[in-house]
Amino acid sequence: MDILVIIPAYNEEATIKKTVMNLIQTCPYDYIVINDGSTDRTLDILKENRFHYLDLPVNLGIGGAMQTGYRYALRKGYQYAIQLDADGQHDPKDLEKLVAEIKQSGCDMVIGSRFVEKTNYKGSPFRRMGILYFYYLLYFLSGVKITDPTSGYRIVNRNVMREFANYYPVDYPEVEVIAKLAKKGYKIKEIKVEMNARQGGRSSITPLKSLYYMTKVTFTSLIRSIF
Amino acid sequence: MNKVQLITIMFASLFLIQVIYYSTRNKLRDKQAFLWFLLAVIGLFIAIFLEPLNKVAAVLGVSYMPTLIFTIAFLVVLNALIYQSITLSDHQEKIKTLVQEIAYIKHELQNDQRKEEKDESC
Repeated sequence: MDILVIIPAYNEEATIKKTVMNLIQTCPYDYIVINDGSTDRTLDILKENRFHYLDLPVNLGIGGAMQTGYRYALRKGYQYAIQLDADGQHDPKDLEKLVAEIKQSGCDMVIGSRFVEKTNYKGSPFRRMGILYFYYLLYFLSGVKITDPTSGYRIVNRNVMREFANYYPVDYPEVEVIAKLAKKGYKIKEIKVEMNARQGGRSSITPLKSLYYMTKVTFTSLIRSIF
Repeated sequence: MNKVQLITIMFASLFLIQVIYYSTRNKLRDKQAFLWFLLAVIGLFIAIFLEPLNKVAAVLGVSYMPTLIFTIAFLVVLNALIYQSITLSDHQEKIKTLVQEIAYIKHELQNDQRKEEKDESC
């Protein structure tokens, strides 16, 4: 099998078992859970169920965890790698669509989007405004139209995996990597996916962090789109 | 030599002794030790040659020499801080890579164990 599903997990004891079981039942792809130094029972659950996992001894953040997965995929010779959130927001049923699209279109990255077509997604107005802001930011900086730049549901080919193995932002990586890939001439596409409400755990982005998030991502995206 | 200059030389000397002490105790190493040693020597040099520096400042059109020294010192300290941040970022990156490698090796070991268990049960 040439496709690896990477599931970054930090304190996801409430959902990790369901997410992995759902994936195993839905898709034939290989998977690896990256336990990002969880302090709850996530690691125990992974062990008890004999799931495939990499256990980071300390918390590296979402970027460090995902990069671990991309490096693993590269070493093991996978042709494509897909990010799937451990909190159950991403529906494994859409995996097939992402795989089919990247293979047919020859793009380097395909992003699962909530906004490219109408979906059942109901986010808060504030969150939607933030996403719209990043849409215009990326369009202004890189000339690409990505309707859902904060979506983590994405598949990449081996060329992009190599890029990510060399550099992947530690925190809030989604928007920044699009700016970087667009600058380097990689082809990025979006397809419609459905996203569920968070099944458990806590969001990594609290309202208090939002301002820092927006400013930091704007700065880093600006840097990546120029240099 | 007036009182102020004597006190300045004393503080600059103490700073130099402090840097040498940390270097000999291996608390400061290699490039870091050299950087601070250089800064301490420059500080002492300025303290000793206050008068000639006053003249240089006058030539440059600076009426109050300490302003010039504070500006230069501020820029030097700012650069030293940036250098520290670069070193810190470099170390963070190396630690991250090490953590990832440990996770990978643990995974490989676990796979071997699972294979052995499977073989034994067969």
